[in-house]
Amino acid sequence: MEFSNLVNIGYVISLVTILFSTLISVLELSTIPNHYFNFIYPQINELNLNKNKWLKIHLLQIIAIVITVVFFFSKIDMLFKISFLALTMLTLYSYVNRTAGKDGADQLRMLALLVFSLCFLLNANFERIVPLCFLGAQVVLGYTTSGIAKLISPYWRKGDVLHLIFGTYSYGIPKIAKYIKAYPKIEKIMSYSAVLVMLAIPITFIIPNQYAILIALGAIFSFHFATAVLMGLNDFLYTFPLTYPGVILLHGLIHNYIIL
Amino acid sequence: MLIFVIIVLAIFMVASTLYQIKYFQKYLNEFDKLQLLPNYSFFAPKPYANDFRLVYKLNEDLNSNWEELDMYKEFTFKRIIWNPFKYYNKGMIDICQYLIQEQNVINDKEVLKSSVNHINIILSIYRFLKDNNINVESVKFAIITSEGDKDLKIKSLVFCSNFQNI
Repeated sequence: MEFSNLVNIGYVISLVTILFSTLISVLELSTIPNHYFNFIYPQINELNLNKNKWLKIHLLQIIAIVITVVFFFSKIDMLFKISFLALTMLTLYSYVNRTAGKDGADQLRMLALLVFSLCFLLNANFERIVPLCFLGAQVVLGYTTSGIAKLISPYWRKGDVLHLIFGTYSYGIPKIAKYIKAYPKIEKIMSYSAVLVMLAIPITFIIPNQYAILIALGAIFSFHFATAVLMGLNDFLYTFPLTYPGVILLHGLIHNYIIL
Repeated sequence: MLIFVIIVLAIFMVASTLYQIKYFQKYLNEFDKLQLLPNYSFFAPKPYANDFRLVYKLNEDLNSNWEELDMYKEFTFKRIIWNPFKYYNKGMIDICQYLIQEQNVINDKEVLKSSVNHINIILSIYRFLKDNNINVESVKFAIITSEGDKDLKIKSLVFCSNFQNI
């Protein structure tokens, strides 16, 4: 497949994923119960004490997402970029004010919006390649760090942490926790699988085989699906895949099966 | 323009790589005003196994019980797509952690009353009570660690406020 087609496909996948991820996040934030609003926007100022104003900002974000999609697929480039920039600024404003309750998916989403926006400064050749490659590199770093941190952790190496995590108020499913506590071998397999799946990304990234990296990405996607089901971390499931086209592109460029 | 963008992204890439090492985090935090530098350790090295739970008591009545600001959500499959609970639960945990960090520096509870994190907890409890049509003149709260899911199994008390008029 021609290089430019590959880049375009990767860009579309990443862009649609960012927009979908942002949409779900904004909709979820819009439905936070009134009495828990200060856990999300804890700064004490006139704006943060007024939930209605935040709902208006969320509504503007939703409108920005919709018109970005329309302009992108209508190939109205200038308006697409303006609406995307507006979305980025609104999301950044919300992100900066949300000094609590953020997680890794929020950071990656915000970073992706900013990087895509920054790369609008580039010409058509690089506007799509650069953000994809950067985000691909970021996620390889992320999975490498996560895998190594678990590998060197005495808790994870012991293989008995999952029943504690699944047994929590925040992330738990009591029946699952009870089941895996009763079967420690299964718990060990699950714990070690989590570590291996994380480390598979940097390992297959070094190997010059395109199928290996695809399998590793499939495995890590399954891991994110599992954490969405078992722990409610749904935003990782539909945020992290925005970087996967970049991983494939970067891997192909480094190992010369994708030629510029 | 390409060189400018590449330099910016390269600096961020180096910074985010260094940020994965704990030693560099406190230096890099000085520059990271937007909190964009990601910490990718995710549940490692020590996994999240104990929750913070918020409990409160009303109206300076020594005989009144401690009640929990209950946010527990039962498992449903729809949380694969839709799970707003994760935001306010994590937000509550973050606020509690910030307050505990402040307590480690400022021992005086009267001074801590003016902490944003303290005020946010009081505001949240007040709104919760108001939405449930419970009238209250004063409230005190405590942050406890607990293990297990829905039922409270206290492990330790990490913070207890004084009664505060609201």
